[in-house]
Amino acid sequence: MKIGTIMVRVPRKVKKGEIFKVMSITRHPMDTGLVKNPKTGKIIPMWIINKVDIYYDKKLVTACDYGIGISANPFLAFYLKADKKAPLEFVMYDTHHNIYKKTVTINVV
Amino acid sequence: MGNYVSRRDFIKKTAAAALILAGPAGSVLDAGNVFAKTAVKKETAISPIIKSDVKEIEGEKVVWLAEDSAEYKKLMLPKIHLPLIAQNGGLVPLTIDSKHPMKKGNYIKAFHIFDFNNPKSKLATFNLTPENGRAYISTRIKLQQESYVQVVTEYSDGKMFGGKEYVKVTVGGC
Repeated sequence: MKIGTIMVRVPRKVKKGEIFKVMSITRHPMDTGLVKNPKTGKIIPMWIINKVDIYYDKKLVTACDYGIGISANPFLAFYLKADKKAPLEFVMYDTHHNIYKKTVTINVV
Repeated sequence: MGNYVSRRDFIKKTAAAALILAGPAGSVLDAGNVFAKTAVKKETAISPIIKSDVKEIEGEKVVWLAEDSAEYKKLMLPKIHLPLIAQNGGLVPLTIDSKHPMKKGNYIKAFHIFDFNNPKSKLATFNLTPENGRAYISTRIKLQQESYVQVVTEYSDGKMFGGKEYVKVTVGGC
């Protein structure tokens, strides 16, 4: 799996007004910049995701600022209120100026 | 003449007392030295747990309440779920859960997570909105050693309240 792939789990169908759980996991090394490579003895430079924005219906719902204290392959779970059938978009920024995106649609019955 | 003490008796008793005093005192001192040496060795292995709390964030004062007070329950401050003993410090599950209502004008705005025993004390910030419907966040964090994980809850009116939880870590992961 490529670095930066985001996997999102949402329920297949939700009722209108229901509060449901969203779970996500991202593949990323999250190097702190404090660890040495045991073979070469050099410090592995810092490479972390430092900002996560989550948009629902093109409106900012949740925003996270990460430091070096978040573990590798960061996991994030939160709740969301279903209003209408709309896309849920994850946008992640890291310290190497890469942007990772993932969009899922939420089916409101 | 009941208080009469003979010279021989006096010498015997004082000698015995001196022995009793000197014997254990000497051994205790030795034991103390031994303990001091081992204590120094232990301190170098694990740095002490910092028990100070977060005092302010960006100029705003943080209030710390007693956990069994009435105001604490009224505010519906979040519960912090952490394992008692984390075997791997690089991957400690952390869940913050509150039953506070998320309506416009009265909701939980943000969670700030701190750990003063880590090389960088601020771990993360999570900003929430009324669209979330429930103040809940679950992540995994890195911990250097056993310490107190502190969660500061920011309300929509700008007030901040703190809560903390103790974790033991067998292998550090930072």
